[in-house]
Amino acid sequence: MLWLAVVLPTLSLEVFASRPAPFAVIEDAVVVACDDQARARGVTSGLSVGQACALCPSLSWRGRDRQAEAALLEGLASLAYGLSPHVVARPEGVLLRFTDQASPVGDPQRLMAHAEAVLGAAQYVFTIAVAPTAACAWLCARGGLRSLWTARDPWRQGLRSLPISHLPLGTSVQAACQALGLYEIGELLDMPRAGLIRRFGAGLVQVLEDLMGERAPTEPFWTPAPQFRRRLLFAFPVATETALWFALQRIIGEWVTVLQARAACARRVTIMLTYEDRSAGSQVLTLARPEREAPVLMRLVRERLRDLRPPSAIVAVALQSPLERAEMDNLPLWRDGQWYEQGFRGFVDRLHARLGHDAVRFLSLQADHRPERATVERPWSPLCGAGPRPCFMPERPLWLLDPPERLAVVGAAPQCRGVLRFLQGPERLETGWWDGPVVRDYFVAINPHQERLWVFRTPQSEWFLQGYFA
Amino acid sequence: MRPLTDALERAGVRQGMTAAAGVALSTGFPDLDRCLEGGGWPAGTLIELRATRVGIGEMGLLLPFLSAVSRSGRLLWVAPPYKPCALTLTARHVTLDHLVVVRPRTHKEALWTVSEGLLSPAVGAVVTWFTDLREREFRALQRQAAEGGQWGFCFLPRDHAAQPARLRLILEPVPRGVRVIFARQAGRPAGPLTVTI
Repeated sequence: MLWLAVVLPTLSLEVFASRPAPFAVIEDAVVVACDDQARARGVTSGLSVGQACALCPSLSWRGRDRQAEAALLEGLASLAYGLSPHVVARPEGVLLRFTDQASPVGDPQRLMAHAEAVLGAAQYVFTIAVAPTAACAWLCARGGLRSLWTARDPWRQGLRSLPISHLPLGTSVQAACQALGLYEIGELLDMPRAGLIRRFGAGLVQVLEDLMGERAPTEPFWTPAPQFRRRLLFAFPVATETALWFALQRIIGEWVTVLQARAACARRVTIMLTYEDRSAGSQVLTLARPEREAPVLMRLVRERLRDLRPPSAIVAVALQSPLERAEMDNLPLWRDGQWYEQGFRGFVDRLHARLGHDAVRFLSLQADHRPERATVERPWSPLCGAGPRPCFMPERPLWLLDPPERLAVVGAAPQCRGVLRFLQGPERLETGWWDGPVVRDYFVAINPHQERLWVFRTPQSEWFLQGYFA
Repeated sequence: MRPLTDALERAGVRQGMTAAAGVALSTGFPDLDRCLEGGGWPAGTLIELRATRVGIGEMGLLLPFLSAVSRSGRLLWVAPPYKPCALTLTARHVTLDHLVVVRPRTHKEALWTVSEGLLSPAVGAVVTWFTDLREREFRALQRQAAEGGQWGFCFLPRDHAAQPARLRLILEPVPRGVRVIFARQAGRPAGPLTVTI
């Protein structure tokens, strides 16, 4: 068994996108993390806000956001799921289990390089280590060692020289070890276990057993969520599209990696923006064709957000998308028509993304004699067809006015930019007794401007213009 | 897969149902075909159509051509003046499934849609109605039509300022037909023609 540990040492900082420098994260008025610039001025975790500000007057800070941290870790776990099906999620990072023989990328060196490349591409700040036990890998990664120990390496020897302060022990136990003059893990391992239990309790021995692989790991493996959800906070509200797009690019990059790792596709995407004035807006994108290609998804999201006019500066952006099973054909080469269909769906997706779902219409026929109901303009849906082809084709105009326009009547003769001359008619239409009955006499008429019109008369002798023969 | 799809997505690759620039397709009216350069509606250019009014038979002039295109390709209608009647279109053999009607909210959106449609190999012909169009915008669309190599028709009001189109037709009503005036046709002047619809 081989374990790869990924620790995010600056997790509480990472959740704030576009943070100004120097910057610190505080919890209960105590600094828990700070960036390099603040550290250079002497700010360390554990200082109170007052002390930190005295050391570094230009320091800006934000309260710790545990929720966002959990979301970021969830993202990390789903990314890691693409490397190994056995992922353990911990509050500071993830552990990945590999069997000795089978790793999709080959030997441990290449495995580690590949993991670093994947995490680096997703713009995580991380430390990484590989070791034969979970606790050992975690310890090395937390210490920032970047060590690579397999079962064949003398990893037990290497472990002995590490300081005890790296071990996950309580402060009282640490202090007691120091008082006894114990500094390295090797010194603890040499002690008789029974004595250690009596002096420090069973906890310390369990930690040592975990470290040496003498105890079976008990942590449950992470199970992937059925949807992708990721939220980024801006430490300081952004008003420019560039800053928003920068954050979204990062999210989309991660999203595509997850889609590919899970062999899934996206069909529905929700982008939620939270504004400074506490209002929130969301943009829903429904794709006509399931998609998982990064350039296509980026372009669709970008088109959707192009005309966005935020009411105030943006403080957070979130992207949410259910993971759908991929059912796309990758090789439609021999079925030209089908490829063409997919290209067209991609085109419809682009229109939807830019113009909204309602702006893009398709026509369909309904079995109804009322002209305004016979033609339905509907938004795109992959299942609807154009409707049945009618067997009887009366002469109808191309352009329909919906609702019909009332015509002026001068001396019982209808007028539409001049006196009308009737060419055909009347054609009686009497239908719809079940929901909006109509009795109309239709005429084809022509006016002095040579416009061919379709007009009708109601039983009350009112005249309406229904359409134009174009 | 990627390089192939990329190459196909790029405009200018001939794909059976689309035509390269310089190709013309019959209008469905032999008299009109004879007067047009290439013997039909030219591809790869934005054709400017000026109708005096709506309802004089201006679409009757296009429908035979559009129904031929809709058999294999797609039609994109951007901002039509009224609701198209599905029954009429079916009667004139236009494949309804292949017709996309877009109703943009702003002029900018309309321009974007038309240019996307002209560039996309998935769309066979674009018909658009503008109430106002600047010369700069028309030139941009013209360029995209040339790049995409598809058919583009642009309806403009009769009294609108002239656009730098290669082919501009003015349509006037006559009893039982349309009088077509070839206001501008590159390289081939022709007299007015009455088309019976």
